[in-house]
Amino acid sequence: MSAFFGLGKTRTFKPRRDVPEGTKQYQLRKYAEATLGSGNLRKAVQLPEGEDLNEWLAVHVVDFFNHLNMLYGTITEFCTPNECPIMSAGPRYEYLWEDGVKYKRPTKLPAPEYVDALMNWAQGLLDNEEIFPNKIGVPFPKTFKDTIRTLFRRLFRVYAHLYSNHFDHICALGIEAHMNTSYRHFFLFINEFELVEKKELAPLDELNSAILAEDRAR
Amino acid sequence: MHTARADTTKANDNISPRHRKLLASPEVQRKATVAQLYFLDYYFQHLGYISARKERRAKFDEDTEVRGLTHSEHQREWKSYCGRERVVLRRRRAKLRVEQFHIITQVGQGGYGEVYLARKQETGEVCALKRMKKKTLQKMDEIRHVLVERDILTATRTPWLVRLLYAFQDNLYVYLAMEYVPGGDFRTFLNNTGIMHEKYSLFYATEMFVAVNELHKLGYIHRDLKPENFLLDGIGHVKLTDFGLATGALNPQRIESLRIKLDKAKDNKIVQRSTMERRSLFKTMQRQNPQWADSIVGSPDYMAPEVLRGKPYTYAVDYWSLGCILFELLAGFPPFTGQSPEETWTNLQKWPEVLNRPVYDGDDAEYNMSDEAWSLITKLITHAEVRYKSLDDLKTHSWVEGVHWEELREYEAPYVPELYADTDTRYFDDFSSEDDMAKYQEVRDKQKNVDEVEEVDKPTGRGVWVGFTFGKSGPNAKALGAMGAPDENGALATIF
Repeated sequence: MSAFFGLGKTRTFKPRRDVPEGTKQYQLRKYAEATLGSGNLRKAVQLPEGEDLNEWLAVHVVDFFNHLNMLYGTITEFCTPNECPIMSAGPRYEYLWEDGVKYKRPTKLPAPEYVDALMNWAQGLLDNEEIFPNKIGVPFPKTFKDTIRTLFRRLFRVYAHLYSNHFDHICALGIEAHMNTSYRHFFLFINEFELVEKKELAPLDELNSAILAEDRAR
Repeated sequence: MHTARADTTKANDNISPRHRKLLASPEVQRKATVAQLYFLDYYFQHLGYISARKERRAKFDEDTEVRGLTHSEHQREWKSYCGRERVVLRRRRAKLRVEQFHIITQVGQGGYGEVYLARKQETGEVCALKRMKKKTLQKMDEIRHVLVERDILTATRTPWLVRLLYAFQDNLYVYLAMEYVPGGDFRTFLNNTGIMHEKYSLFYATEMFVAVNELHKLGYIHRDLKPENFLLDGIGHVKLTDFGLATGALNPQRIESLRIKLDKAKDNKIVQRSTMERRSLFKTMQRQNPQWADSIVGSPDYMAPEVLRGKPYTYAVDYWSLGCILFELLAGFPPFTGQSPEETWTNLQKWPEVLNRPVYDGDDAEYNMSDEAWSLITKLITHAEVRYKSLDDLKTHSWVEGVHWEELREYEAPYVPELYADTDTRYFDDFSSEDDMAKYQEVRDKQKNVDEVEEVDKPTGRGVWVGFTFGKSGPNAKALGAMGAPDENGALATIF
């Protein structure tokens, strides 16, 4: 079980201060300050004037899918059927998998199998050119927004599982700053476009409140 | 590659001993490092996109204002501008696929796959596209080899190592698209050259030493260096490619196989041969034997004894290999290659007795190496404890006394490839020529054998190929600096 929930107070986000000059991370922080001003990702998620909303949603869901592939890939040795017999986000939330094809009813799966099914399902959608057209000029289908909402809702569950069940491993591997940045970006994005219902976000409520509070303070 | 990172004391308290051991394993460490690099690269690119888009917008506004357009003219240009931005965005989402590359010709064939000269349709960029079957890599326990190669190529940008342009995958294959180095590989170059004058050998040897040192600076040991691993660029300078066994652990079966072959040779008698005879036999074998094209079996001829015996090793193993290559540059044949594999293994088993200064008589006497050159060879091909193990060690030697190390790439190469176009492949084998194809028959036979190997029981998990895909991006850091401890006030750290 994660140390994440052992802390009573609300945690805020903060750029790491002790990154040595000359490192790439230091350069990135300077670059972020120069391009975003104080590192505010809220501006980064906003739809540019004149841009097609569906295109903006599409490029970001692909990015977050890739982020999660990367993050989850680092802890596959620790997310095993033995240690994660159900797909959970802490002790109070459990997810069952249903895709309407292979799993026609909500099915209890160990976390690694759930994540694998979810990511394969998502990959199938992202690769489907009738839903995510690659060719220039081909429009998105009318149902695209619904597809996007389902994708984001399910991708959230992987973040929730990582934070709730593998935060110690993530910290020990030195990638918590990267996961925090990615999740903050993800959350600001879904908040901006109201893509996931608040009740679905309950497992990470504290984190989400902290992100919004911090945002208002900038 | 090991990135320094401080453990979180508090987090460690909650981690079981089994997990703590797993956390320290090379595989998990590698994935964490790749993840760090991935996110830094991603956010550089993403912020770069946002910044560039702002600039394009500002330029559009400024440009249209200066020209004093009517409202309808402005609307038309605005629509056109937005359309161009939409194209940029859609292109960002497109996955790299092999169909996006126009295959020009095949230029190489290795045990795990083929190498093609290809042009990326969108950019016109020419590259060497290396394609490897996931199943073959998995069967031969070489997934790590490919992952490490991708890591090395990603981690650096130096003229001494071949540069990675793209890495991507589909269900069946993984692909590495690398800069195309048109001068061919050094094995082919040596085959077309007789014995090399010592001053030319000095040029190539020093460049090889520096190239390998670049790999060592990244924290990798190659362990399987041979002339095939070096390429000549368009103006005749050396680049290192194919990073072989530069990984945490050799396949235990391979180690055992090498050791067994070495042990079998223990009681064999050394075949005494003159220098001329050895060179002549080597040249004949080169013409008849396709062994050098085969990277599944691999040739032990340049491998250090401690690698062959499965013993602990250091960077010094690569200096042994470089010593063997230097010997070949100067003598026209490698020091331990025999007429048959059995003879080669005998020579490797008894290398202290076999290593002799080559001496030519008659017309070839002018090629005999100098005392300084031989002296250097004996400091490279020697026992691990006293062997040279760094570029600094090498620089102390009299043979390289006059070398200006910082200016190596500014020298004019002794031989500059003649090229008529950026897609010229004259220095590579012709895969539509029957003569050239005969060389690769053994490779194909071995591939057939590999195909017949039983499927690996366990399915490849999602984690194995994660992080493989790599697009063209901005500058890459060699490695991350040391990560500091988490902020004491309990805030969650972010990277910016």
